[in-house]
Amino acid sequence: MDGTNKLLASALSAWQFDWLNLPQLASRHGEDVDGLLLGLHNVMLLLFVGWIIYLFFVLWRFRAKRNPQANPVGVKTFIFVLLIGFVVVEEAVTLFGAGIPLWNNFVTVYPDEKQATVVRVTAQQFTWNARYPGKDGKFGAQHHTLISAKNPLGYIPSDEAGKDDVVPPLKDIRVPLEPIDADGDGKQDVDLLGRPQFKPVIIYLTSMDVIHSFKVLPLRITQDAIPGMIIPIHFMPTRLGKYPITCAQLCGNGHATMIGWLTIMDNSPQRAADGTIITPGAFDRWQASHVAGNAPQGGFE
Amino acid sequence: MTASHELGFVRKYIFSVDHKVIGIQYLLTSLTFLLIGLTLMLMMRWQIANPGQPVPVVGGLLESALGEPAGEGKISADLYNSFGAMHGTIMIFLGVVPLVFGAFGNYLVPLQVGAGDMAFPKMNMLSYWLYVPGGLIMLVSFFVPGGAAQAGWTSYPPLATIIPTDGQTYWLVAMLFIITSSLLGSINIITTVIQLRVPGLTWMRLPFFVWTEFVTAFLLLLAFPPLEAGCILQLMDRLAGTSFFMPHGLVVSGQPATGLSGGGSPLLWQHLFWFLGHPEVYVLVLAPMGIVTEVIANNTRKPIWGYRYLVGSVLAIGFLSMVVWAHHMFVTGMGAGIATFFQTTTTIISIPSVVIMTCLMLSLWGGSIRFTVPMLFALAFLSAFGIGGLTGLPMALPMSDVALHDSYYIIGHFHYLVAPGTIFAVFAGIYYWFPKATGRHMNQKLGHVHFWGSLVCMNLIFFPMLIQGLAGMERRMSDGGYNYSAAHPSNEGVVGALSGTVMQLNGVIGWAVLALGAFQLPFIYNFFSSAFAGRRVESDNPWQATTLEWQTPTPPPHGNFVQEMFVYREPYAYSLSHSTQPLTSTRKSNGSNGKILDFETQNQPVAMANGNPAKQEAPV
Amino acid sequence: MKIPYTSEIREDTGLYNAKIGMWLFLASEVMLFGGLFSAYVFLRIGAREGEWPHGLLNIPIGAFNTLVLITSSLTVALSWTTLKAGDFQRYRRLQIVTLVCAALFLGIKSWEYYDKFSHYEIWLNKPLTAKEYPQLAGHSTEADLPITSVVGHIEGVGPFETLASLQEAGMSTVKIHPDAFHYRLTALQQAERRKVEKATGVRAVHAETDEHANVSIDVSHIARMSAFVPKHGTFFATYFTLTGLHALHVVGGALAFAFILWPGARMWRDDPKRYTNSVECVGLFWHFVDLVWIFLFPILYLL
Ligand code: HEA
Ligand code: HEA
Ligand code: CUA
Ligand SMILES: [Cu+2]
Repeated sequence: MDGTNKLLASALSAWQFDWLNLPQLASRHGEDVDGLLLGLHNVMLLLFVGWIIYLFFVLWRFRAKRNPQANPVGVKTFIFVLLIGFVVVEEAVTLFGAGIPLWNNFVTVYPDEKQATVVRVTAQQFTWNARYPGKDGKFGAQHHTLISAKNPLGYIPSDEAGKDDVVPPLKDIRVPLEPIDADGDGKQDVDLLGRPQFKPVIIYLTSMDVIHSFKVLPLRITQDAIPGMIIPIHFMPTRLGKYPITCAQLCGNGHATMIGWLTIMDNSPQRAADGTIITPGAFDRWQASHVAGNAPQGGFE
Repeated sequence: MTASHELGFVRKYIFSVDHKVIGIQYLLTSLTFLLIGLTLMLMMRWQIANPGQPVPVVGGLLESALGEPAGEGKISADLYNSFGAMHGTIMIFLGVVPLVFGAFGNYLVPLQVGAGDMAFPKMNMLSYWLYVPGGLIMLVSFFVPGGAAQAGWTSYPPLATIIPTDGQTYWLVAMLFIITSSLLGSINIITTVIQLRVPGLTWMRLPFFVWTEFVTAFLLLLAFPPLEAGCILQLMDRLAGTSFFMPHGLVVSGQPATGLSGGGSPLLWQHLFWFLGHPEVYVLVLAPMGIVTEVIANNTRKPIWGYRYLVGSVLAIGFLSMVVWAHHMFVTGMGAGIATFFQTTTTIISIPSVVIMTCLMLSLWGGSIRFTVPMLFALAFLSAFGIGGLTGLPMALPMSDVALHDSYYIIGHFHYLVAPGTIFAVFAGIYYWFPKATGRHMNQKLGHVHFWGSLVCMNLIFFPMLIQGLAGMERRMSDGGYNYSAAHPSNEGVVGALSGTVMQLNGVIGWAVLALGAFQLPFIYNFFSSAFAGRRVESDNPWQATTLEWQTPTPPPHGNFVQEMFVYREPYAYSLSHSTQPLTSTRKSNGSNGKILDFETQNQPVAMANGNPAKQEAPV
Repeated sequence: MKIPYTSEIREDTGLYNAKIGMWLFLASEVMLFGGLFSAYVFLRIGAREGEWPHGLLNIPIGAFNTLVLITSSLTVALSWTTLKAGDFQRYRRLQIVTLVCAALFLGIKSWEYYDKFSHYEIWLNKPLTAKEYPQLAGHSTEADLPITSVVGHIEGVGPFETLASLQEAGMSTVKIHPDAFHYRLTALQQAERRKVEKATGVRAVHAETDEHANVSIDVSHIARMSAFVPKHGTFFATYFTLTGLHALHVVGGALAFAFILWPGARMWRDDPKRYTNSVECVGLFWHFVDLVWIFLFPILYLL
């Protein structure tokens, strides 16, 4: 009994052995992505190995020298049905068990903006502009007639909401790793699977000129940035670190150089004994140091 | 006696209406384009392996030919993008499609259905002579100011439209030629199969290759026009300043694009393109499946297992491939509903492919397998298609595609299908039908060198790409991903930058491509030398095959068949008289119509001269 | 080398080669225009509120052209039946009518085109108000909302001019004669206006007075200016592309008919069956082209 449990456990861990060498994972939904990838590749490996073994056996067993006279009556049909049945079942399970539900959940269930870090990312040949709404949680207004080399995003300088917007340097996007404690029990919340919860991030993605693609492999997200469309994506960061932003869509001769960096920062403030904040968290300090004020923002390098 | 003898050289070999001559014209032209595509890739891989280094040997040539983009013999980013786009375009639209459809389809379909020629010979000639200018326009575009198209073979606007080169316009015009050419070709093939089958050659007696060409023709006929529409619209955008694909408020290099009306949609192009794009990829692989089937049946000396399943599957693929296109657009921000639809159809369409592969695999069982050169290539196709196809599955689900999209994993995926897949199948076909077309055998030894060399190199090239892709290396990177590598100074401390080993694979691939090129030389030599000095065939049917094309004199004269024919059984009736099983199981297992045939040898022809006793037992 | 079933039919399929060929070709044509039509739908659905212009095309003319094409289809069908009956002369007369119809259609179309080319829309970066331009009072809407664009003929300006070309010509102001109810309001205002019009049932702008309301606009106030050419906007882009492609098909069909009618007529003596077939095939094509127009007319002119 116990032995079989051990067997099952080891079989399971063997199944979960990560041989794909995917980059470091740093987001919650990424766990599903990796699970899906790994599971699929395990099955693919099984199929292919079985396939190759069969191939070589047949080639040896039925080579003309050894088998001078072919037998036209082929394999029994049920073997075929078995194989196809296996593939069909396997694909149905991955599709309806994982593929569809996971994706639908990912693109339909959005975190509440108020409880999330909101960033507006605008791609342009060949760099990334980020903008944060600042204290008031509102982005400054834009108008495309204002667009110029100085003000490539056409923000209206006089707009009140824009005054406190945070505009970091190009290609430098940062989000905080903040434990959330909605129920206020002083402990970090966990989801049903007991996984600790962090403040989710929503990114509104668009492009000024051509199609780019915002791919952060460690976060397991890829989303095209399409001119004329503003597309939201969301994720829950789970790990500190500085990760590369890849432009995953050919966008011209600078495409290869259009790297950016997304940094997941710690944001735990330094508190006095009575709990008052002495120094705010690193992320807040960083934001404070990049308040746009009224200057026209962004611009080319 | 046959017309061709009175014709002069030009009418006979240049503007010929004979499907065999046209087929060979197509073959030589498209193979040359394959070679060009390979050459482009050689230079690209050099650039990837050593970014910023001048290309050895041809560097100077490049500079003098292409000027500034190739300054100092180096491949600039612009030039790299041109080469990438043209490699894809040339390989697919000017290389493989004309090869598997124009060359093999033209040469073999009429022969295999027992017809004297295509249904519309003049149109057939026209289709070739539309393909040639199309190809030339493509090539010329390298030399226009700014160079050839640079927006990938997918030519996504707005990039394709705002890019400052006329190359893109040439690309679009050339595409219109190529599309028209293959429309004419497909009309011809379909009509020929429907109308010109010899008596007794019922649908279920067609060789599988004919079926694949038939479905391919329908794909080209119905999937190409939407791209044609797309090309027309993009031409309007480029030439007439319209905004079909240009949204509002577009900013071109820092300045708002005044003068553009805006109001268009970049996604519209993607839909039009991929509506062709996906059927197109099956165009690349169906006919090769047919070739492989013929070769396997012949070299296992037994009927194909589950012929009916094969036919059913290829038809299913034909229909389904029209409703999966958006799996190339999963990351354009696709809602739940649409994504559900397309990942489902994409997963479903993989089933018929699995069925075909499995049938071919099972066909090997119980055979008497001859390891001829064509057979070797056919077997390599089977395993390559396995890898290529299976790697399609993780991309079919958007949830896992987000990790793979636009990475070298995709490049690996489809090259396993088109290079060691399609290209190998084509080689198999060339070695297999060469004796029929020329009356001479190709050299076996050179063939083996060609095969083993290519096999090793192909895997050294494309398997590492899967690894690189999973590690996060992106495609279309003119510097081979150097900017994303841990080695790049700006990336220290960055988690998930490309590791040294992943980058080193670039070197491996580079050399492997060079070697691959080298291993094509024996083939090219073999091809031409054997055509004139190869070992003569001892009979009209040197492989003891059972399909109709082997019933003709060698090489087939204008008009193909000398005796009148009547077909009285299914295509792959090898060794049937030795069946140890009762009829019924024969019917089940090899999908034949169950008639045990009344002859002994393994090489009985499929058709008998008229008045043969066999005629009486023919179903009418 | 003789190809079977060029003129006689194959009994198990019941068709001769060329007919299958033509049907297949038409299938691909369906996909081609299908692609373009779906592009039209795609763009129109995506268009901003009030961006898609209405009523810029001449409906009576379009309707008349539709009639012309239908007539030609009729004569084609008749000519084929008479030819089957063996009456070559009558067939020839009918086909000449067909060709005349084709010519008429193309003539009218090109006149329509030309009329568009010399028509202009001017987008203003400084909206016109009834205060500065009293002659506009009551034209834009009852509420005299400011006008962001004006459509009409420009005095002394021929087809194909652009803002740049006018500035080169040294024009400082352009005098435009606005068309009936084609002041373009901001998207929101247009929506408003349509509501009002729906409610009251009266058009907010009064055509008869518009003719007199000619406005001279300072060039510096012009944000963008374009004749009714493809680049004017997605509507005209679609209009010219679709109708242009269709016109090309008309030309092609007419040429084919003409060829069969005169140079190709020899075949009537050698192989009448095949000759009749060729008429039938081109006829199929002609009916298809006609059908395309039957779709084009409503979606471009009426909707
Ligand atoms: C010949 C060409 C070809 C073929 C046949 C296929 C076949 C398939 N392709 Fe591929 N594909 C391409 C050529 C091809 N593809 C190209 C060129 C691109 C990139 C275009 C670009 O962006 O430039 C692409 C991209 C591409 C994408 C887009 C990825 C992205 O951009 O993010 C996707 C996603 O779904 C996909 C999926 C599939 C699937 C599911 C199949 C399935 O049909 C595969 C079915 C086959 C199998 C399932 C394996 C065969 C079966 C076996 C080996 C048997 C195994 C053993 C047993 C069953 C016993 N392909
Ligand atoms: C049918 C399609 C096809 C084929 C066969 C190939 C073949 C090859 N491809 Fe290509 N490839 C594409 C279609 C194809 N490719 C497409 C669509 C893209 C995407 C482009 C884009 O990004 O837009 C691409 C991109 C692509 C890339 C990625 C570039 C990038 O993203 O930056 C790479 C990288 O290595 C590559 C490599 C190769 C290699 C090494 C081969 C080799 O396998 C070459 C094999 C060729 C031969 C072996 C030649 C055989 C011919 C002969 C021997 C001639 C004989 C002549 C006579 C007898 C006269 N290809
Ligand atoms: Cu931006 Cu590629
Ligand atoms: Cu696809």
